[in-house]
Amino acid sequence: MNCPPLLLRLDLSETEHHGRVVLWLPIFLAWLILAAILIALSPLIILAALLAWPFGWGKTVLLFIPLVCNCICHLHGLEVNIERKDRVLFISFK
Amino acid sequence: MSDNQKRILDMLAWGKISADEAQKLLAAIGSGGDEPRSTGAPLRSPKYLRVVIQPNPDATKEDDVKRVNVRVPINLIRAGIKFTSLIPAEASEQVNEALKEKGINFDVRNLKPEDLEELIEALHDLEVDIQNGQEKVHVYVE
Repeated sequence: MNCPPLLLRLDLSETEHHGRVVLWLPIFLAWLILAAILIALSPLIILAALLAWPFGWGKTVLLFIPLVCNCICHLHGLEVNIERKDRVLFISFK
Repeated sequence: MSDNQKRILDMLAWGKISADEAQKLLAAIGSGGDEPRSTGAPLRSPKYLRVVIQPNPDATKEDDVKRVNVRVPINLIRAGIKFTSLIPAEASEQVNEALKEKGINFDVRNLKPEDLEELIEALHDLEVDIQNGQEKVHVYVE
């Protein structure tokens, strides 16, 4: 399994005022908090999956979180760069 | 065995050339024969899907120039496709109906991770260029 991205680079520039903000956000802290919440909620998730199983939603409830975690682990390298006339936004997962 | 190699061996068998000459000729044509030879580096698996939107240089309206450059890891797309396995049958039917209303005749139940691998392989040769009055969209893999 891949390691989730540890840092998020957020670059905001305003060409009119020549202002530029570059933020390196330690998103690994968010993953740690999320993991702690998931561990705490796991008995409830399993219970919800068991209750939803007869209605056909049990598998969805049970596998949703592992699949979201899988997506998070593959965020490495995702880059979004949007430039307007007066503003530039750059987001990158490192 | 290529035609050239066979022809050389025939000439050797008929005694038109000696064994040494046949050996030299075989070495000269190489072992590739008629098989296509690779011209460059081996084909790498694509890592990213790139979507670039640029203003059309011919466009006259320059008030709200917008450029978008998005790089999406192919592995993220792979991970996203796995979500389709979670769609319950009833929801799939609703999604299919909604797609049909929009004029897209596609069954989301047919979307499988195995098909995605084939699609990613095919992406090597794909580049999409869309150009309208204001913007130019370029989609490719790298």
